[in-house]
Amino acid sequence: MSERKPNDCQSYRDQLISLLLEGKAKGLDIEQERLSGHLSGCPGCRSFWAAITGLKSSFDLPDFYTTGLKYRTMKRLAAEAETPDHGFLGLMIPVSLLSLLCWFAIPLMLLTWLFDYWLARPWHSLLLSTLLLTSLGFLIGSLAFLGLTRGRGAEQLKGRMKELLEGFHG
Amino acid sequence: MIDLEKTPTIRADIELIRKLQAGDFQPVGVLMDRYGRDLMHYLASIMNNREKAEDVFQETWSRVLESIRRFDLNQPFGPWLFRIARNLAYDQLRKEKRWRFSFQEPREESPVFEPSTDSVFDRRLADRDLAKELLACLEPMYREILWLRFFNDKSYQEIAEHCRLPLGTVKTRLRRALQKAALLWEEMAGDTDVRTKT
Repeated sequence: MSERKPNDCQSYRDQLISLLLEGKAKGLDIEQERLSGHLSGCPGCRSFWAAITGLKSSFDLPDFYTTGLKYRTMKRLAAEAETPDHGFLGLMIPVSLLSLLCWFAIPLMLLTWLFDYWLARPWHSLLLSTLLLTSLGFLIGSLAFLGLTRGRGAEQLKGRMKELLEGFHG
Repeated sequence: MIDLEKTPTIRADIELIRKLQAGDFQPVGVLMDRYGRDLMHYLASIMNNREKAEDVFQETWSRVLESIRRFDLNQPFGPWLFRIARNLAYDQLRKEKRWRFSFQEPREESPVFEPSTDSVFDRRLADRDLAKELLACLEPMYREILWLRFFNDKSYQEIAEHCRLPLGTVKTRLRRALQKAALLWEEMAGDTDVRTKT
């Protein structure tokens, strides 16, 4: 059995990796000959080569895409298409919570920070707070509107509104 | 830029996608047949679990239908589909990681890259089984990149585009995946030697 030198083996294994990835080993022909020579004498590197080439063949998996899977997926898609999507409700809840947070927490923090200013110029502070709250409300309202009209469930929402309008006119 | 005239599959996809965008549900089955096999392989290689891969597969098609109206017909469908699947698969893995971190209770799973269950040492020593063990131990990102290179025969450039990584990172990651596999292999081989001797 050939004497095993870990450092040598490491460099040969790097070459083996290149060989596997690129189809050719790095270096000159003479180095490649050395690699072949080393492989025939080193059982460790031979097994290493067998293991990494084995990785390649391990991807030959059975066909997981079966008729059953297709059927289950199509069934789920059909059910989702039939069920009205309540995605807009899911959007409204965090938006409402965020609005509450903005309306109460942020002005409170701001007023605490501006406490001295508040006492000194109450009318200015009131104007500032009103402007801030209105801007935030406008921003959140716009985001909510965009979410409702373009996000998940927008089609269902539009359909529902159309039905309501038709009912109203009818 | 992809030349749409020269790629019949892409052109055929466009026809189906137009129908889907118009609200016709049926073409999804044709697209599923076209991409299902590779998609399931890909997901199984990332998730290393068939059931989980199937869950992500279903979720992927659900997302496809949700966002098909926003799909740009100038782009090929395949990479878009695989990107959705990839994002969902990694989201799922992240969720599982958080869950495991909280409870530390390993669940019974049926890994895809599982060596044969014959409890004979000789069998475990077989290269193919050892390689499957190696794959199962690798991190998902390494399994994914090896799959793209070895099973899907993708070039470095294509992998870089698929994973949205720089070319250099792809090369390094591939090399690292094999080096990591080699380290694990040494551990496993050592472990087997010890057990064989005893």
